[in-house]
Amino acid sequence: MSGQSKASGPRPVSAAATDPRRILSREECELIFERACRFARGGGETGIMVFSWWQGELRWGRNRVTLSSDRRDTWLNVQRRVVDGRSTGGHRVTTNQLDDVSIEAAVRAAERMSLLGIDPGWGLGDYPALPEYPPFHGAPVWSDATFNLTTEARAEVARSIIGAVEAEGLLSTGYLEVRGVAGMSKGTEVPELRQGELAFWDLPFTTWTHAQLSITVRDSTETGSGWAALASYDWNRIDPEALTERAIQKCVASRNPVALEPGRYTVILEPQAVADLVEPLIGSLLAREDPEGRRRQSPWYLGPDEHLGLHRSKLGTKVVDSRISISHDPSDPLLGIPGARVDTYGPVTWIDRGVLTNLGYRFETDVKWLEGWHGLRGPAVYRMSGGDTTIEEMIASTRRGLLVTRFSNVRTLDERSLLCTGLTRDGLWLIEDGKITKAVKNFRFTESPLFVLNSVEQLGEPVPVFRTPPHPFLIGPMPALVPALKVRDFSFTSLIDAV
Amino acid sequence: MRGFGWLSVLSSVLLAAPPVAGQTLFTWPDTAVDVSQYATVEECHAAVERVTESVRRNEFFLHRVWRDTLPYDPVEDVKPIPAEAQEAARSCGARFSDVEAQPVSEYRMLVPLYLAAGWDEKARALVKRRMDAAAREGEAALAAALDTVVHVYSGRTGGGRSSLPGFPGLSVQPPRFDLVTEVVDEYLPRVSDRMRRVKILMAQVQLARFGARLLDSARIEWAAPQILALVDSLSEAEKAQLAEELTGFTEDKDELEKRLYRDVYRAVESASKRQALLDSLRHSTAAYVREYRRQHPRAVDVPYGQPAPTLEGDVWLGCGDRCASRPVPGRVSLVVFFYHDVVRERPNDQHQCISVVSGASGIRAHCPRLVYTLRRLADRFPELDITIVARTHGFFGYLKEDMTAEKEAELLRRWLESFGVRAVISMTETDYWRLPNHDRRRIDEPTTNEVNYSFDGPAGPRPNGWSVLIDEDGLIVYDTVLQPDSRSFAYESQLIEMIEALLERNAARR
Repeated sequence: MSGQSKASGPRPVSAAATDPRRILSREECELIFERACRFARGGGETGIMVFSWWQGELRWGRNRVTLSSDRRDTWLNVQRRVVDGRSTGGHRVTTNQLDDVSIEAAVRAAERMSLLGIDPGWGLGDYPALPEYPPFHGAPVWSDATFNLTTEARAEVARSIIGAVEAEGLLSTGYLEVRGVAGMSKGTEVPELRQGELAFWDLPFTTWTHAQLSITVRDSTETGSGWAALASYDWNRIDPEALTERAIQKCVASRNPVALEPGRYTVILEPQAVADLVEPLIGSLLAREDPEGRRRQSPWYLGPDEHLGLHRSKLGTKVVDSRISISHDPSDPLLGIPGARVDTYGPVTWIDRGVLTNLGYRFETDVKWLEGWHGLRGPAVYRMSGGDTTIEEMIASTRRGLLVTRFSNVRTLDERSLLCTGLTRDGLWLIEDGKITKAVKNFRFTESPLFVLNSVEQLGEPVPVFRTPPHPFLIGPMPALVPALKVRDFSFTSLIDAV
Repeated sequence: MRGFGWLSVLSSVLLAAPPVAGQTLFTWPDTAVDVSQYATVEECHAAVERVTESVRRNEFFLHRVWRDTLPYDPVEDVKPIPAEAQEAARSCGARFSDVEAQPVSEYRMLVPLYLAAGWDEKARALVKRRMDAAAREGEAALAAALDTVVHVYSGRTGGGRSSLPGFPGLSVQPPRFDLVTEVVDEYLPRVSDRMRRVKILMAQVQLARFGARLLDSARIEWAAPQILALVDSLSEAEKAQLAEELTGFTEDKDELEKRLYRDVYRAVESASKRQALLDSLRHSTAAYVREYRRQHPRAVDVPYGQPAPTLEGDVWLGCGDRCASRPVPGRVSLVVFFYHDVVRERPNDQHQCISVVSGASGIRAHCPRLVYTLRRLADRFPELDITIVARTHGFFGYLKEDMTAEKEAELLRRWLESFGVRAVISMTETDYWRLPNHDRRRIDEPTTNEVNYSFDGPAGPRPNGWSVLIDEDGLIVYDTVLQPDSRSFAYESQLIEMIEALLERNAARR
């Protein structure tokens, strides 16, 4: 399913890039569903989940392109349930072939698995009609500029970046990716209970795009390294020239670093460093069920309430500096939202001026415990509030401290306190008396984002950062807007030789 | 050049031949297992377990019956292992079949294998060698060996569900009651350590009431007085040590008594007093309560003999215009507290029950174990008056909007009836409040029915399926959580016995 083309030599025009049908349309998804239903034998229920995706990518190293490809694939998951009155569980079979023979084979395989199951028993229960949720409106996360960035256009971008880096006598490595995804899930379960075409757990046809560009620049002595990157659903929001210039500047400025003693330093964390550091904290805000379901390792677990016989979370308590809010507004043009039908559509604030006001929760939690009947998303997409201090002003107001470009390999050591460890990368500088005085060798840090967000001195303006979805098609873009922070007493625990 | 002529000929043959001729034709490898080739006893144990599990799984798929719909059958606990597994044990164990050639130190693993193969005589011979050797080592070794042998014969070693932890290998199935008796009769008199004697006798009692059904009342009646006399003869320090050994570390000085109550008194009660209870119930509730108090002098918080509080409900279904006075005077009644927000009974059950349905699989995956038991009772005793006591939760399944008490009651009725359960439903509007600020969770207050039926206990939700049996005079006779019989307790069977006794009595009166 891939059509790679080498960068060297005459470049054939990729068929995938010129084919307007790189991803499936709504009608095609519906047709696959109908075909799967048509092949079903022995009664029972049929469901499909289908994702089709196209990805154009270009990778280079040491100023030479090493990979240019256009790939597309389909992921079709066929489910058959209670065939010939058997089996209570759904049985799924996955294929990426969409011809009749392959789909029928998948249906048959799912049926064979279903036939291994057991009788559902005396009954399935009588349920009321399914609630009808409002129609799902496609999120503003589709960009024609992303979807139409051809192989040639991507090569041009790489050429201009490599040219600029070579002109400075430096080496660059980079990765450019554009992606378009279409997906849908639909089933025939409980038709007698359905009020509309889709049950609330089905996923209506939805599409999104994703673009990312990352550049690392090194000098020939391998002592300086600069990095710049950005991700967005819209390629037009990524400025390759600006990123190149930034990576070059950082590389040049980080040459010949000196070793400093590890210890506690005042640090100025650039937005990317803040985003890297708070990622474990963001992940912990996803599920209210953790702290309230006795998961004592959750940072938001407060303790048992023996009188009421339940577990309390830290909801309503102040957890970070009162200048920090973490929120998401779907109408924010820089963020957008790819959501599910049972999710709350409106804006959500998880941390409001330092107070933990919300944790994501499931539909079941809302139905059983809370006032509504929707799920609440966690901050997969978020904006962290900031201030108006520029990084230059932060530097100017620092007597002695460090400027951090970004962190890598951030790992959680202790879930309860969110104590993490990781490395500084691609540019670390010493600040003395309000000025950057020298490049510094990298450190390993051992610090908690919770402690950091409680030690904030100054905040910058939130800007988009580099954040990529962890799955090629099941998870949509994950944009975030994060400010730079000036933080006191940040703990560096050892020196790292790596550049 | 001449010497290489054959090479050119061969090359031309290979090149001319169709490509497939040059390939190795795929054939399935012979994957049949020959367990007689296994070299160690441990491998034989594993082989027998695998075959047993495989046969059980195949039977399950063959009959395809959801176990939830069937009552617990204690006979399954004493069934022999499948013939295929016995054959595997014989085949694999052949190389160990010469008892005299086996090292006696291996008896712990060899005895279960012999018994699985049906070679009980070989097992007895090896055990005798082990016991005689232990006797020569001294009394402590003899007591330890006897303890182990009793547990092995009882099926409480190995990987069985009722096994003690720390004993790997095969469980003996069925338990060999006769062999336990034989070895205890012969060797226990030689053990003077009273604590050891207590533990061995208790193991025998546990075996005698194996599978929640009394299998050997004579053995219990023989062992129980000895246990109690031995415990009485222990010093306080010895009692504390015994309690710790039996129950793990505990500061509760009454723990030994509780444990003995559970393991011995209850067994004694099962052996001799259960029938007395039922007989007294057939006579009158007053006589039953007197007998119960005599048998359970410490059970002070049991409401048996008290008048059942009149049930209240904001919505009644299934009782027409005769809902005001329930339980109904003159009829044997079963009051079942049912919470449709907590359907989950066994969290680790593969057929998990869920209270909020969030997808199609949730509808299919409901675990109406409790409801099946209720249906069996309703089918068996049509004259039993069953009232489901429910409370509002503000949702049903996935539906929350515009929910009222009437709607919740009606949805619950339809849900129960879809499982064949027809009963009167009393739905009470639940008072609730919400935790302040950002928590907002709903906290339910106890309903009047829950308060009235809490008796001297805390007034709150009852366990889901908690049922109260009430006689025709409105007096409480029995309470239990509605569930099928289990390996450890005959929940459903005992309730059925009580209902039968009450209905017989009621019929005789009429």
